[in-house]
Amino acid sequence: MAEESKIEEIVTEYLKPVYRLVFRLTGGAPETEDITQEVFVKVWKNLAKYDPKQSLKTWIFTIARNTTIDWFRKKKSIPFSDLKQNWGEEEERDFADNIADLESLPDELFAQAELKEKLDQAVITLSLDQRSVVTLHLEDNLTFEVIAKIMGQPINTVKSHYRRALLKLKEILHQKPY
Amino acid sequence: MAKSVYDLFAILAPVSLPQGLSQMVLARIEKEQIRRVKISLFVFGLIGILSLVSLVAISIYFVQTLVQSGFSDYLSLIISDSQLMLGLWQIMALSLTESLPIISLILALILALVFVWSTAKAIVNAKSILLVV
Repeated sequence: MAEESKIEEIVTEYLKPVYRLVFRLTGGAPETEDITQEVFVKVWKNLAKYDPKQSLKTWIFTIARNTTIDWFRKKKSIPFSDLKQNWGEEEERDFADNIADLESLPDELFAQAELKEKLDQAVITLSLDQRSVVTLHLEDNLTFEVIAKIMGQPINTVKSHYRRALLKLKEILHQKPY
Repeated sequence: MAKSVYDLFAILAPVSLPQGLSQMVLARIEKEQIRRVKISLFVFGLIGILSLVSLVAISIYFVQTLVQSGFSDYLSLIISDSQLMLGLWQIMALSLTESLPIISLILALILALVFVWSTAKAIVNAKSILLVV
Protein backbone atom coordinates (compact mmCIF):
# COMPACT_ATOMS: atom_id res chain seq x y z
CA MET A 1 0.00 0.00 0.00
CA ALA A 2 2.84 2.37 0.94
CA GLU A 3 4.59 1.45 -2.31
CA GLU A 4 1.43 2.25 -4.27
CA SER A 5 1.02 5.70 -2.78
CA LYS A 6 4.74 6.34 -3.28
CA ILE A 7 4.57 5.54 -7.00
CA GLU A 8 1.45 7.68 -7.35
CA GLU A 9 3.33 10.58 -5.77
CA ILE A 10 6.27 10.01 -8.11
CA VAL A 11 4.02 9.87 -11.19
CA THR A 12 2.25 13.07 -10.14
CA GLU A 13 5.51 14.91 -9.55
CA TYR A 14 7.69 13.65 -12.37
CA LEU A 15 5.34 12.75 -15.22
CA LYS A 16 5.61 16.13 -16.92
CA PRO A 17 9.43 16.52 -16.78
CA VAL A 18 9.95 12.89 -17.82
CA TYR A 19 7.48 13.17 -20.70
CA ARG A 20 9.13 16.42 -21.82
CA LEU A 21 12.61 14.85 -21.71
CA VAL A 22 11.49 11.79 -23.69
CA PHE A 23 9.60 14.03 -26.13
CA ARG A 24 12.70 16.14 -26.76
CA LEU A 25 15.00 13.12 -27.08
CA THR A 26 12.73 11.30 -29.53
CA GLY A 27 11.96 14.50 -31.40
CA GLY A 28 8.28 14.13 -30.53
CA ALA A 29 7.90 10.57 -31.83
CA PRO A 30 4.43 8.99 -31.45
CA GLU A 31 6.01 6.39 -29.13
CA THR A 32 6.79 9.09 -26.53
CA GLU A 33 3.75 8.05 -24.45
CA ASP A 34 4.76 4.37 -24.51
CA ILE A 35 8.34 5.18 -23.53
CA THR A 36 7.11 7.39 -20.69
CA GLN A 37 4.89 4.57 -19.41
CA GLU A 38 7.85 2.18 -19.64
CA VAL A 39 9.98 4.62 -17.64
CA PHE A 40 7.51 4.64 -14.74
CA VAL A 41 7.09 0.86 -14.83
CA LYS A 42 10.89 0.59 -14.50
CA VAL A 43 10.85 3.16 -11.68
CA TRP A 44 8.18 1.10 -9.87
CA LYS A 45 10.07 -2.17 -10.43
CA ASN A 46 13.34 -0.74 -9.13
CA LEU A 47 11.96 1.40 -6.32
CA ALA A 48 13.36 -1.04 -3.74
CA LYS A 49 16.84 -0.61 -5.25
CA TYR A 50 16.70 3.20 -5.11
CA ASP A 51 19.33 4.69 -2.83
CA PRO A 52 17.76 7.63 -0.92
CA LYS A 53 21.20 9.27 -0.71
CA GLN A 54 20.91 9.87 -4.45
CA SER A 55 18.56 12.53 -5.83
CA LEU A 56 15.25 10.98 -6.93
CA LYS A 57 15.06 13.34 -9.91
CA THR A 58 18.54 12.32 -11.12
CA TRP A 59 17.65 8.64 -10.71
CA ILE A 60 14.36 8.97 -12.61
CA PHE A 61 15.95 11.03 -15.39
CA THR A 62 18.70 8.41 -15.75
CA ILE A 63 16.03 5.72 -16.20
CA ALA A 64 14.17 7.96 -18.67
CA ARG A 65 17.27 8.59 -20.77
CA ASN A 66 18.34 4.93 -20.75
CA THR A 67 14.84 3.77 -21.69
CA THR A 68 14.85 6.22 -24.62
CA ILE A 69 18.28 4.96 -25.72
CA ASP A 70 16.93 1.39 -25.57
CA TRP A 71 14.03 2.47 -27.77
CA PHE A 72 16.45 3.99 -30.29
CA ARG A 73 18.53 0.81 -30.23
CA LYS A 74 15.45 -1.35 -30.84
CA LYS A 75 14.51 0.96 -33.67
CA LYS A 76 18.12 0.79 -34.87
CA SER A 77 17.78 4.38 -35.93
CA ILE A 78 20.77 5.68 -34.08
CA PRO A 79 24.41 5.08 -34.95
CA PHE A 80 26.52 3.69 -32.13
CA SER A 81 28.87 6.68 -32.44
CA ASP A 82 25.95 8.87 -31.48
CA LEU A 83 25.56 7.05 -28.19
CA LYS A 84 29.19 7.11 -27.23
CA GLN A 85 31.71 9.54 -28.60
CA ASN A 86 35.35 8.83 -27.97
CA TRP A 87 36.95 12.18 -27.71
CA GLY A 88 40.26 12.60 -25.95
CA GLU A 89 40.31 14.13 -22.47
CA GLU A 90 42.26 17.16 -23.68
CA GLU A 91 39.87 17.85 -26.52
CA GLU A 92 36.97 17.55 -24.09
CA ARG A 93 38.59 20.07 -21.74
CA ASP A 94 39.27 22.52 -24.58
CA PHE A 95 35.75 22.13 -25.79
CA ALA A 96 34.27 22.73 -22.39
CA ASP A 97 35.98 26.12 -22.03
CA ASN A 98 34.24 29.44 -22.70
CA ILE A 99 30.68 28.09 -22.83
CA ALA A 100 29.41 31.49 -21.65
CA ASP A 101 30.57 33.11 -24.91
CA LEU A 102 28.35 30.80 -26.86
CA GLU A 103 25.30 31.33 -24.68
CA SER A 104 24.70 34.92 -25.84
CA LEU A 105 22.58 35.42 -28.93
CA PRO A 106 21.78 38.58 -30.93
CA ASP A 107 18.42 40.29 -30.47
CA GLU A 108 17.72 40.06 -34.20
CA LEU A 109 17.48 36.31 -33.90
CA PHE A 110 14.52 36.63 -31.55
CA ALA A 111 12.71 38.86 -34.02
CA GLN A 112 12.18 35.94 -36.40
CA ALA A 113 8.56 34.94 -36.76
CA GLU A 114 9.44 31.36 -37.58
CA LEU A 115 12.03 31.04 -34.82
CA LYS A 116 10.05 28.58 -32.69
CA GLU A 117 9.58 26.19 -35.61
CA LYS A 118 13.18 26.62 -36.69
CA LEU A 119 14.43 25.92 -33.19
CA ASP A 120 12.29 22.79 -32.91
CA GLN A 121 13.83 21.50 -36.14
CA ALA A 122 17.32 22.52 -35.07
CA VAL A 123 17.03 20.57 -31.81
CA ILE A 124 16.07 17.43 -33.76
CA THR A 125 19.31 17.65 -35.77
CA LEU A 126 21.40 17.39 -32.58
CA SER A 127 22.86 14.06 -31.52
CA LEU A 128 21.13 12.21 -28.67
CA ASP A 129 23.84 13.23 -26.20
CA GLN A 130 23.72 16.86 -27.30
CA ARG A 131 19.92 16.84 -27.14
CA SER A 132 20.05 15.33 -23.65
CA VAL A 133 22.43 17.99 -22.34
CA VAL A 134 20.61 20.89 -23.97
CA THR A 135 17.18 19.75 -22.74
CA LEU A 136 18.31 18.92 -19.22
CA HIS A 137 20.34 22.12 -18.85
CA LEU A 138 18.18 24.68 -20.60
CA GLU A 139 14.69 23.33 -19.91
CA ASP A 140 15.08 21.51 -16.62
CA ASN A 141 17.78 23.86 -15.30
CA LEU A 142 20.00 20.99 -14.16
CA THR A 143 23.68 21.62 -13.53
CA PHE A 144 26.36 19.94 -15.68
CA GLU A 145 27.37 17.91 -12.64
CA VAL A 146 23.87 16.43 -12.29
CA ILE A 147 23.61 15.90 -16.06
CA ALA A 148 26.96 14.08 -15.99
CA LYS A 149 25.51 11.71 -13.36
CA ILE A 150 22.35 11.15 -15.42
CA MET A 151 24.32 10.45 -18.58
CA GLY A 152 27.04 8.46 -16.82
CA GLN A 153 29.71 10.55 -18.53
CA PRO A 154 32.52 12.82 -17.27
CA ILE A 155 31.52 16.44 -16.69
CA ASN A 156 33.94 17.71 -19.38
CA THR A 157 32.37 15.41 -21.94
CA VAL A 158 28.95 16.76 -20.99
CA LYS A 159 30.21 20.32 -21.31
CA SER A 160 31.68 19.60 -24.72
CA HIS A 161 28.36 18.06 -25.83
CA TYR A 162 26.72 21.28 -24.72
CA ARG A 163 29.26 23.47 -26.52
CA ARG A 164 28.94 21.46 -29.72
CA ALA A 165 25.16 21.63 -29.45
CA LEU A 166 25.20 25.40 -29.07
CA LEU A 167 27.57 25.77 -32.02
CA LYS A 168 25.31 23.61 -34.14
CA LEU A 169 22.15 25.44 -33.03
CA LYS A 170 23.71 28.83 -33.77
CA GLU A 171 24.85 27.63 -37.15
CA ILE A 172 21.38 26.34 -38.06
CA LEU A 173 19.55 29.38 -36.72
CA HIS A 174 21.80 31.73 -38.67
CA GLN A 175 21.68 29.70 -41.86
CA LYS A 176 18.63 31.21 -43.58
CA PRO A 177 18.08 34.94 -43.91
CA TYR A 178 15.39 36.38 -41.64
CA MET B 1 21.31 43.76 -25.56
CA ALA B 2 22.24 40.25 -26.52
CA LYS B 3 19.98 37.52 -25.16
CA SER B 4 21.02 34.09 -24.01
CA VAL B 5 20.16 30.57 -25.09
CA TYR B 6 18.03 30.34 -21.94
CA ASP B 7 15.73 32.98 -23.46
CA LEU B 8 15.82 31.10 -26.73
CA PHE B 9 14.68 27.88 -25.08
CA ALA B 10 11.93 29.70 -23.24
CA ILE B 11 10.22 30.20 -26.58
CA LEU B 12 10.63 26.55 -27.59
CA ALA B 13 7.20 25.02 -28.04
CA PRO B 14 6.06 23.85 -24.60
CA VAL B 15 5.46 20.15 -24.32
CA SER B 16 1.96 19.51 -23.08
CA LEU B 17 1.00 16.22 -21.46
CA PRO B 18 -1.43 14.07 -23.45
CA GLN B 19 -4.86 13.76 -21.86
CA GLY B 20 -5.09 10.90 -19.36
CA LEU B 21 -1.40 9.93 -19.51
CA SER B 22 -1.16 9.89 -15.73
CA GLN B 23 -4.04 7.36 -15.50
CA MET B 24 -2.50 5.33 -18.32
CA VAL B 25 0.83 5.17 -16.48
CA LEU B 26 -0.83 4.07 -13.23
CA ALA B 27 -2.97 1.51 -15.10
CA ARG B 28 0.17 0.11 -16.76
CA ILE B 29 1.89 -0.19 -13.38
CA GLU B 30 -1.20 -1.93 -11.96
CA LYS B 31 -1.23 -4.33 -14.91
CA GLU B 32 2.45 -5.06 -14.32
CA GLN B 33 1.75 -5.53 -10.61
CA ILE B 34 -1.01 -8.10 -11.36
CA ARG B 35 1.29 -9.91 -13.80
CA ARG B 36 4.03 -10.08 -11.17
CA VAL B 37 1.60 -11.33 -8.49
CA LYS B 38 0.22 -13.98 -10.90
CA ILE B 39 3.74 -15.23 -11.61
CA SER B 40 4.59 -15.48 -7.91
CA LEU B 41 1.21 -17.12 -7.21
CA PHE B 42 2.05 -19.74 -9.82
CA VAL B 43 5.59 -20.24 -8.50
CA PHE B 44 4.56 -20.47 -4.83
CA GLY B 45 1.54 -22.61 -5.71
CA LEU B 46 3.80 -25.00 -7.58
CA ILE B 47 6.31 -25.08 -4.70
CA GLY B 48 3.41 -25.71 -2.31
CA ILE B 49 2.04 -28.63 -4.34
CA LEU B 50 5.49 -30.17 -4.85
CA SER B 51 6.36 -29.82 -1.17
CA LEU B 52 3.01 -31.32 -0.15
CA VAL B 53 3.48 -34.34 -2.44
CA SER B 54 7.04 -34.78 -1.16
CA LEU B 55 5.87 -34.35 2.42
CA VAL B 56 3.31 -37.14 2.02
CA ALA B 57 5.92 -39.43 0.46
CA ILE B 58 8.56 -38.68 3.10
CA SER B 59 5.99 -39.09 5.90
CA ILE B 60 5.09 -42.58 4.62
CA TYR B 61 8.78 -43.43 4.42
CA PHE B 62 9.31 -41.98 7.93
CA VAL B 63 6.54 -44.09 9.42
CA GLN B 64 7.85 -47.22 7.65
CA THR B 65 11.43 -46.70 8.87
CA LEU B 66 10.13 -45.86 12.33
CA VAL B 67 8.30 -49.19 12.51
CA GLN B 68 11.36 -51.09 11.19
CA SER B 69 13.82 -49.33 13.50
CA GLY B 70 12.25 -50.69 16.69
CA PHE B 71 11.65 -47.21 18.00
CA SER B 72 8.12 -48.11 19.08
CA ASP B 73 9.46 -51.12 21.05
CA TYR B 74 11.87 -48.92 23.01
CA LEU B 75 9.14 -46.38 23.56
CA SER B 76 6.62 -48.93 24.89
CA LEU B 77 9.34 -50.39 27.15
CA ILE B 78 10.04 -46.95 28.62
CA ILE B 79 6.35 -46.29 29.18
CA SER B 80 5.58 -49.71 30.66
CA ASP B 81 8.66 -50.11 32.91
CA SER B 82 9.51 -46.82 34.56
CA GLN B 83 11.90 -48.47 37.03
CA LEU B 84 14.06 -49.76 34.18
CA MET B 85 13.95 -46.34 32.57
CA LEU B 86 15.18 -44.65 35.76
CA GLY B 87 18.00 -47.15 36.17
CA LEU B 88 19.20 -47.25 32.59
CA TRP B 89 18.00 -43.86 31.31
CA GLN B 90 21.26 -43.03 29.53
CA ILE B 91 21.30 -46.28 27.55
CA MET B 92 17.58 -46.06 26.89
CA ALA B 93 17.82 -42.47 25.66
CA LEU B 94 20.72 -43.40 23.36
CA SER B 95 18.86 -46.42 21.97
CA LEU B 96 15.75 -44.30 21.41
CA THR B 97 17.73 -41.61 19.58
CA GLU B 98 19.65 -44.15 17.50
CA SER B 99 16.47 -45.88 16.42
CA LEU B 100 14.82 -42.62 15.35
CA PRO B 101 15.04 -42.13 11.53
CA ILE B 102 16.68 -38.72 11.85
CA ILE B 103 17.21 -37.97 8.14
CA SER B 104 13.65 -38.65 7.10
CA LEU B 105 12.42 -36.71 10.14
CA ILE B 106 14.54 -33.65 9.24
CA LEU B 107 13.43 -33.90 5.61
CA ALA B 108 9.79 -34.12 6.67
CA LEU B 109 10.18 -31.06 8.91
CA ILE B 110 11.91 -29.04 6.17
CA LEU B 111 9.21 -29.98 3.67
CA ALA B 112 6.48 -29.10 6.15
CA LEU B 113 8.09 -25.67 6.64
CA VAL B 114 8.44 -25.14 2.88
CA PHE B 115 4.79 -26.12 2.44
CA VAL B 116 3.58 -23.72 5.14
CA TRP B 117 5.78 -20.88 3.81
CA SER B 118 4.78 -21.32 0.14
CA THR B 119 1.10 -21.71 1.02
CA ALA B 120 1.20 -18.51 3.07
CA LYS B 121 2.90 -16.67 0.18
CA ALA B 122 0.40 -18.07 -2.34
CA ILE B 123 -2.53 -16.99 -0.13
CA VAL B 124 -1.11 -13.45 0.16
CA ASN B 125 -0.69 -13.29 -3.63
CA ALA B 126 -4.19 -14.66 -4.26
CA LYS B 127 -5.59 -12.07 -1.83
CA SER B 128 -3.84 -9.22 -3.66
CA ILE B 129 -5.21 -10.42 -7.00
CA LEU B 130 -8.71 -10.55 -5.53
CA LEU B 131 -8.28 -7.07 -4.06
CA VAL B 132 -7.20 -5.58 -7.40
CA VAL B 133 -9.84 -7.43 -9.44
